[in-house]
Amino acid sequence: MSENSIRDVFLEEAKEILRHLEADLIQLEENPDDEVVHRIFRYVHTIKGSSGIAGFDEVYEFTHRLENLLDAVRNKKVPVEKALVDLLLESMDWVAEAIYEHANAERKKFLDEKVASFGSFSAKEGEAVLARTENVQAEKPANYFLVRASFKPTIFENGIDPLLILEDLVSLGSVEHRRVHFDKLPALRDMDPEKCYLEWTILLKTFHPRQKLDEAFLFVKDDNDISIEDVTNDFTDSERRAGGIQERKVGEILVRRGVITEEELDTVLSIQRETNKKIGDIIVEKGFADEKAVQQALGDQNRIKSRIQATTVRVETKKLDTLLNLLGEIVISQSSIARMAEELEEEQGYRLKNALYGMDRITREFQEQIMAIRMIPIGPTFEQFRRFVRDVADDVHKEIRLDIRGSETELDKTVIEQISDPLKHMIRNAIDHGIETPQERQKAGKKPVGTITLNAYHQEGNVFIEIIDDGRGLDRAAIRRKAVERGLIKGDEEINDRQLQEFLFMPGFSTAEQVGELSGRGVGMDVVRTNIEALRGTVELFSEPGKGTTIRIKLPLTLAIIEGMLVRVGKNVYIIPLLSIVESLQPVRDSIKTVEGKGEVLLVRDEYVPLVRLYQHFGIDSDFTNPWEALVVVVESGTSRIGIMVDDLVGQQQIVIKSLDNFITKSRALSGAAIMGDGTVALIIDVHGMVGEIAT
Amino acid sequence: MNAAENKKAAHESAEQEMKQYVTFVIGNEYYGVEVLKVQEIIGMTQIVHVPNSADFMKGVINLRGTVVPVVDMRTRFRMPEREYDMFTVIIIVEVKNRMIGMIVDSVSDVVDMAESSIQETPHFAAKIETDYIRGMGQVDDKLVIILDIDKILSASDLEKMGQDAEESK
Amino acid sequence: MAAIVLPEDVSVKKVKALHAELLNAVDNDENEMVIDFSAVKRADLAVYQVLLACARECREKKKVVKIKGASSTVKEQMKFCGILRSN
Repeated sequence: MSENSIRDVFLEEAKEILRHLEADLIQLEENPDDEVVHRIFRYVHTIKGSSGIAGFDEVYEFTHRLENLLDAVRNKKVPVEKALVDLLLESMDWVAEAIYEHANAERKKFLDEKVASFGSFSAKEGEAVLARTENVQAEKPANYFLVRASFKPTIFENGIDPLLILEDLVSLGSVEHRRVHFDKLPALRDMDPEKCYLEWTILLKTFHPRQKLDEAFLFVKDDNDISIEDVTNDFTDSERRAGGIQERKVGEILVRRGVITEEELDTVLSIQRETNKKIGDIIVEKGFADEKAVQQALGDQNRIKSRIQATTVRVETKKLDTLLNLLGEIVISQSSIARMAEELEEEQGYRLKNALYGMDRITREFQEQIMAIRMIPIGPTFEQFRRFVRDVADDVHKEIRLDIRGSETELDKTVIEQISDPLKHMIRNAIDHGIETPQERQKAGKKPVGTITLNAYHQEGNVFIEIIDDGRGLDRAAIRRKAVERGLIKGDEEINDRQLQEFLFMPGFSTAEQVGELSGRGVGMDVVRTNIEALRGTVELFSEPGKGTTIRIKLPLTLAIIEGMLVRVGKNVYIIPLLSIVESLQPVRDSIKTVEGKGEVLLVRDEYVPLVRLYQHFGIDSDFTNPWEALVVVVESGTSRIGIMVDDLVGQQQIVIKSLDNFITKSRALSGAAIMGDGTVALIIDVHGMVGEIAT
Repeated sequence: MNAAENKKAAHESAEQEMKQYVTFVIGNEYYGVEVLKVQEIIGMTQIVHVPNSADFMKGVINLRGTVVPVVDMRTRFRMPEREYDMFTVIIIVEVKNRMIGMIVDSVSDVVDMAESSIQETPHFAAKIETDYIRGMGQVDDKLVIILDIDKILSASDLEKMGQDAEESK
Repeated sequence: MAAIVLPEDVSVKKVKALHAELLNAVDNDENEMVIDFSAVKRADLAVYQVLLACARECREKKKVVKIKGASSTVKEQMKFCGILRSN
């Protein structure tokens, strides 16, 4: 592996580890259990090793000290407290910064201070925790030791197998040179097989200090001839071993299966890092598991690897975007050809149409495959909010738990990137306005710790993301007041839930008593909605006073290609997404009524739905002005339904959605456009947007 | 040369720098836009009107698979409207990473103009709001008004205009 | 020719018996000696040491020593003890 790719692999891996670390540290605070501590220790251990290999010396040294501290925590010599977690989180931030930016004097100072503060936590540690930074810089990561081992002949009688000791020794580093001396070994017929005659000379390259090597010989150094000589100065090592950094995952799989223990994994990982042997081989060598179990795990690892690869798909999205665009053009061409096929004679037309059906099926599947590549789980996005929630909750002196569900739910990569900010907004809102202070909660008979739940799931071709808080819910009275204040409704007018929502989504609308430093001004729920609608999604609010609020975001699974129903009004053709259509009908005169102050409604199967005359709504000419002479398409968004009056239904086809820039129109009823087979542009009706427009 | 002299020299050469402009006609005047900002020029094509849009927003067109909004420059500059004829073209420009089309009466030559020859416009000199004008220059015997495209077609401006249009209805 | 099959738990505890077996095998007329490790997961130094002595003897007698069924663990151990060459 070249220098650059070792570095890249390290950067990539470190990023992921730091993310996991952050999540675990926060979990540690809430729930200090041994497993979490072990995990954290292992993560830091991994970064330490990898940073050493990749040449990030400062990071290596820092994490080395950090590892000592964590070791003390692991051995219960240092208690888990908020102060500790704060320090660990800060240290992590330092590591993140150090890894991704260039060195500067600031960091050196921080390093000094932090290392000094570690000392205050674990003053009992044998190793020099209070390292001077001069030492830190002077030490080279790799040391070379010449080990000479000659065991006493009766060593087997003590029940000791020197081979094990030596294997332990070499697990601490990598063997540069090894020599077995059997000059003391007599001939086969003369020897006493129960006596030891062999000696070794080993040149070991290791990141461990001398003491660690001494430890390997702890039980034998007294009456055996062991010598360890530091010969580092005799060597310069410019070549770094490539780390099989991603290979540790096989080990993790085996641990999860209970085939090897975590301690064994630790040993294996350190051997692997320093000797570059395959994890599987080391495991079998050390006798921790048999080859069969390892092979099985390797098989799984390959499967998992591809999944892991999926979560780290890099900026190939540009290429995927190109693919999708091309596919979109195919769809458009297809519809041109379909049109031409319509105009052909029966015989020819028939065969061509058949061929086109086949092609249609293929394009649809093609599209699904491309979309599948772009899908990544939402878990990491959710997880990154843990830190955010902790910090913000701290700032406003509230106690809040973040509950995450549905981490495996997959969304298109672009969509995930774009909802990240809106989600943050809404979580902040929930913290600021939703969850009450611990005192208020207790007074209300609730637990002092509030819960915010992030949930994600698939349903009927859509992805739903929910932000649920168990706070105080929306204050209807306050919203009413605000609405009256702003002249949106009259003093005695009733408002239903839908209108309530609409008000909240208006720019600048806020019922917050104080304009907090963090939010205030109703933190742009209007901006949030705009962002989500730009992704052709919808946002809905549900709330129960005193119990909490749920924000539900619905996003389409397929971004760009949908089934559309073409409708005509006068000379204009519009597209209504098929998924939103409930039914189409030609209404009878009697079924249409006018409700005062609300407009026209249409009776559809025992339900009155608002009637929208599209020609009126859009200010265009139409063939018909009487609904009973025309057609009404009943559409649905969430739980709301409306009937859209059009002149005629033209047909149904797959369409590629092209977005409309925001400034083109103020109408929320139009969210995009599509290019028809004949090259003209047809505007796509946004059902949710139209429903919203009607309501106000 | 010392620093001050260097600066002056650089400034001078910048002034001498020749840039190319696409010139076109709206009303009786010649206008110009930096050629680098022009994507292409197409003939009049079917424009699909978009409801609830500002009056100068004529609609959208299909430009090889991309939906591009089109602005009628006459309406934008509050000039009387006129029927489109065979000379009417749409100049597709790139503004802040978006493509927008400008409908103009006709297109003229691509000319070279030095920065130094572009003079500031006195407030009353042009028919259109001088905010949108970078300057005026002379090419042969024509007076060319150099437009600041970014300003004229900036999204926020358009949105605002849109709102104004709404309110004035 | 008979192979010397090592039991799964071969160690210093059984090395005396192994030693005797090897002595016999070394003295026979076969020009090949097969040592079967199939059942062995890992062995200790006493085992490898006696094998080392045996191998040295065979070399002098021009007998070929073949190792059969050695797992990778065992192979590593043999390399460590100088029975197999590290490549």
